[in-house]
Amino acid sequence: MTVCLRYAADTMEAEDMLQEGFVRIFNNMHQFKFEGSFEGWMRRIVVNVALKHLQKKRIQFSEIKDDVQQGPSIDSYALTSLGEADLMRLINNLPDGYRTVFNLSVIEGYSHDEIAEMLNIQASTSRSQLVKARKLLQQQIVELQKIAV
Amino acid sequence: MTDKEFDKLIRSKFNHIETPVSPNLWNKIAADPQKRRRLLPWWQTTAYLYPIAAVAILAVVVAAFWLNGNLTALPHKGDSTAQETHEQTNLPNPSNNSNTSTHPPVQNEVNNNHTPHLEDSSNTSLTIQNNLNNIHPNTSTTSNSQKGTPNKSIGTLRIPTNKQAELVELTNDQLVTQAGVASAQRIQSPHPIEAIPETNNQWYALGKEKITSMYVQLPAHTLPSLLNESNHSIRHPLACPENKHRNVFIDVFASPNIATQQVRSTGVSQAYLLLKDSTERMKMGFTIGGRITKSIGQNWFVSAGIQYTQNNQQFVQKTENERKTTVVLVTRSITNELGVTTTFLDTTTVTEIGYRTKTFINQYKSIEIPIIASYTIGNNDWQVGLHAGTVLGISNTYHGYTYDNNRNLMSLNNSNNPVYRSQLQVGLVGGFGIYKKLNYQTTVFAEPHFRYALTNHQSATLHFNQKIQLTGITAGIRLQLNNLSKSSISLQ
Repeated sequence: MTVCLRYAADTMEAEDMLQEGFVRIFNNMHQFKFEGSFEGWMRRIVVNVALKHLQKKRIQFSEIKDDVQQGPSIDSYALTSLGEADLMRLINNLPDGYRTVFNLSVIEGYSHDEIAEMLNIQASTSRSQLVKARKLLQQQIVELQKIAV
Repeated sequence: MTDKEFDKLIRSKFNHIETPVSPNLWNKIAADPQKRRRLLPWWQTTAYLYPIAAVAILAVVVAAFWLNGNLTALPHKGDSTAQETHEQTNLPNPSNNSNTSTHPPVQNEVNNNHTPHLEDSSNTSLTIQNNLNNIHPNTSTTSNSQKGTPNKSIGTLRIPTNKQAELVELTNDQLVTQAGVASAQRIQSPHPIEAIPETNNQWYALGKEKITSMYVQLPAHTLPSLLNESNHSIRHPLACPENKHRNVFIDVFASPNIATQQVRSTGVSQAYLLLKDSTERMKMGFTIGGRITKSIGQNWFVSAGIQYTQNNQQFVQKTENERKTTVVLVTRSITNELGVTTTFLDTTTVTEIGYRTKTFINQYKSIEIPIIASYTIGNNDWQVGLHAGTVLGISNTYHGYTYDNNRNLMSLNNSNNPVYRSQLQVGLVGGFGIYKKLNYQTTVFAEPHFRYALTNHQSATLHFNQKIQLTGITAGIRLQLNNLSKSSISLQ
């Protein structure tokens, strides 16, 4: 469910993703060849379902601008002290393109070439989306820390 | 903090996040596959899959054979023999030329060697001899001039059915009337040609003498070798060797089957096997079906079709310590001291202790696809051969009774108690066959065979392996699908 929530815009959409993901898992259980972890196999199916949902929404990947400012410096304490729910909310507040690339790259561990193939975009677009997403997320964390202080 | 450190911290945060889901979600997930399964169209369900696949395969095979048969009926372009045949089809209508006394066009059609004019009777005879020698290479000739004659048609001369009729009539009327009295005396026919057969059946019905008489009307020494052959050998004067290789037949057959049951324990006790053996006895079953057969070459045949097999099994349940109580009438006569006899009628009960038997007939029904290859040898009338192949059981149903693993009686039914296999079963079949040709189109056959089951009969719920082997005699009739009257024919 957490995986779905990171890609979905809200809880209802996440539940739809999860439901469809489990149906696919049950229907394709015989295709699992015990070559890797079952959890990883399930996770991959759920991610694919989530991406399919996002493709239906036709997410836009805006190109990186040259005047992107250097992100605010963030210390590790600010991040470790951040709760999971707050972090999830911050990620959900990212634009769809940023959020998708950030999830695929940082959380799932896909390379930019793989992301480019999965999302049918350029690898450079994936890199730029990740850079911008990371900086925007750091900026939001800093601002959240200021409010907390 | 570098980007990598930031990513690593983010990833570690999400490793421990667990998000609860609504309770109804799991119900939705559980219901969804069933819902989707119900939404499958009926032709995608397993029950219909194999029969539909079988029918589709048969349809493709029949269509392929049909197209193949039609293609073989087309003229062979570039075939020198076919071109010669085409030349002969330019023969004039004999009925129009029967009264013509001069310059019949026979030399152009019958004489391939620029034979002189037909008014010269000796040359005419020679011309016909040459052609008949072409038709029947075994015919002995007396004319030395024939030896140097180029032979365009070696062994077999192919002409269409109707054109053959013209050729025969031409030799009958024009040759006799125009070739001279001497030749006419030699070639008088005991069976004058009244009507030229148009179909193969009519040709067949003529019989040896009639057909021979057509040749008799030609010079005597040119008689074909048919005369020296058996009566049966001219039953198929129109059989075309090429079509013989492309013949397609449809077989309709039925077979009584004697079944034997093999049971081997995979977990049940010896007592169970003894009980099963003493209870179940295979009875006579049967197979009926149809198949498409295609000849490959002179001796090989391949067949594929669909058949229904039913195996019957007598199941006799014997229960001991059965008590049977019967009410009986008892008549008692008592005579007193005075000699008066009084009769009393009374009732009483009699209890018998013994065993009871219940008899059922278990039926195992299968829709099967036989795929068989056979090799035959023999003459045109009788043939014998060997055959072997596989039988695929695509749909199996059964009902009756048997014992479960605890030796309790249970009913057999596909739906509520699937103890026997209802899906694909595979068996090997082999045997020999005897084939008798009734006419050019119809053959009857008998094929004693044995079928060995490769797959077990029962499902995994019972702890034994059960196979049913069949022995039977397939009797059937084979009909030729090719229409030879539309295709080119040969004189043999």
